[in-house]
Amino acid sequence: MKDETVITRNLAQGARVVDSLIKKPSRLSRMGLIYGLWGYGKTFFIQWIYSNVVCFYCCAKTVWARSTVMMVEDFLSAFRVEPSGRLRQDFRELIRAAKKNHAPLILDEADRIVRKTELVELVRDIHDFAQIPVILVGQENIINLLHRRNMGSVFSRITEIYEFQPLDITDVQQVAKQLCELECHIETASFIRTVCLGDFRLLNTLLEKAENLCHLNNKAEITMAIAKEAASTLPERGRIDLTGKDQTETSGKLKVA
Amino acid sequence: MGKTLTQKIRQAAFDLGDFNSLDLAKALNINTEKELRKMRVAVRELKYRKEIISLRRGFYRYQGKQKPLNKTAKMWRAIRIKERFTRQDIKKLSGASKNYVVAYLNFLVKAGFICHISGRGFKGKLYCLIEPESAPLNHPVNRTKTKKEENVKS
Repeated sequence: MKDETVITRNLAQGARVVDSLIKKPSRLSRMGLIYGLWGYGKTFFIQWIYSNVVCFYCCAKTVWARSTVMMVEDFLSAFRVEPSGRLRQDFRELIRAAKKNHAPLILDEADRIVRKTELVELVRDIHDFAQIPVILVGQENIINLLHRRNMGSVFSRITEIYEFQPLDITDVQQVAKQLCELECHIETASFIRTVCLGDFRLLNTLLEKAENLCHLNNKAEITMAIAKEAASTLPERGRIDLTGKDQTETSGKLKVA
Repeated sequence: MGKTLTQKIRQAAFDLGDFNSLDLAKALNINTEKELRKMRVAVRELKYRKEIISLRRGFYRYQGKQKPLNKTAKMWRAIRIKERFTRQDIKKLSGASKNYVVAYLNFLVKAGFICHISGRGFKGKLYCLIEPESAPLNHPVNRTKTKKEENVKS
């Protein structure tokens, strides 16, 4: 497999969100929200955006719920400013640093801060006083947490929202072609997508196996037989959907078929 | 040091978002015809640089100063966010060529910014950023290489 980044639908839409937030005038609210289930490529998206766009990154920690000072200190260290240990002074420094750099701030694992009003209000203050775009990235339940009544002032500031979707057939075909130089028929792509549950990590594992099999059989296309053989090596993985129903059984049945 | 007119226009245009010449003149406190002419010239220059785009006749939108990161900066940023990485990770994230990534990683190892953490016989070398908390924001530059390039050019 090639070491390349494939611009999938999720990656393109996420980049569009970041770009539109940067380009929005500062008088408008510039908070963004990107969320989705695990394995859909959120972390890779953040790494890719951070590498290619001037922005700052901070990952929320569980300890922040106990200490607001620590949160401000972590933000300051993201801007490479030495914290003094005093909340008031540190916050002032943080606003100054954010204003000076004028680059967006990406906050990963934002569902950890959304649970505590004080922390979210602090993020809102950073957005309001420094006038920088703030992008919250989190798991799927972040949107429900932000819909709470006491979060109204924060949620109204979120002007760009994107939910990471599971991989679709086009994505599977695109990834197979770009990374492995292998063609993939719609039916096969559909089978791969179902087996992988739209998870990018599982798709990578499957494609690596399929590439080896294609190479051994001198084939330039992933056939259904190869896809089934590659799928048999995938680890059994159950994903609980929003309704709380386990889908392991469904994927198991598909593999047998 | 005072701001230049272009810098002032950039700031005002950023605050306004969509604007016309009159809005901009108001925001910049321009009163004389001479100043207005200067402003128009500066706006034209910004339009040429594509920082400002024309929506329709007389109406503009500020697009922002888009200074793309170079490959070395992208590699350094990828290293900073990954902290533990392989050559392939950096190539994937930065889009730089294999040779370029290898050369830069070798330089960083020599300069003491990163180190190998994979043992002997490990196929893909695993690197690690030595001090992630205090790693500089701007990418370290390989001075010896630039000197060599300068010599070659001269």
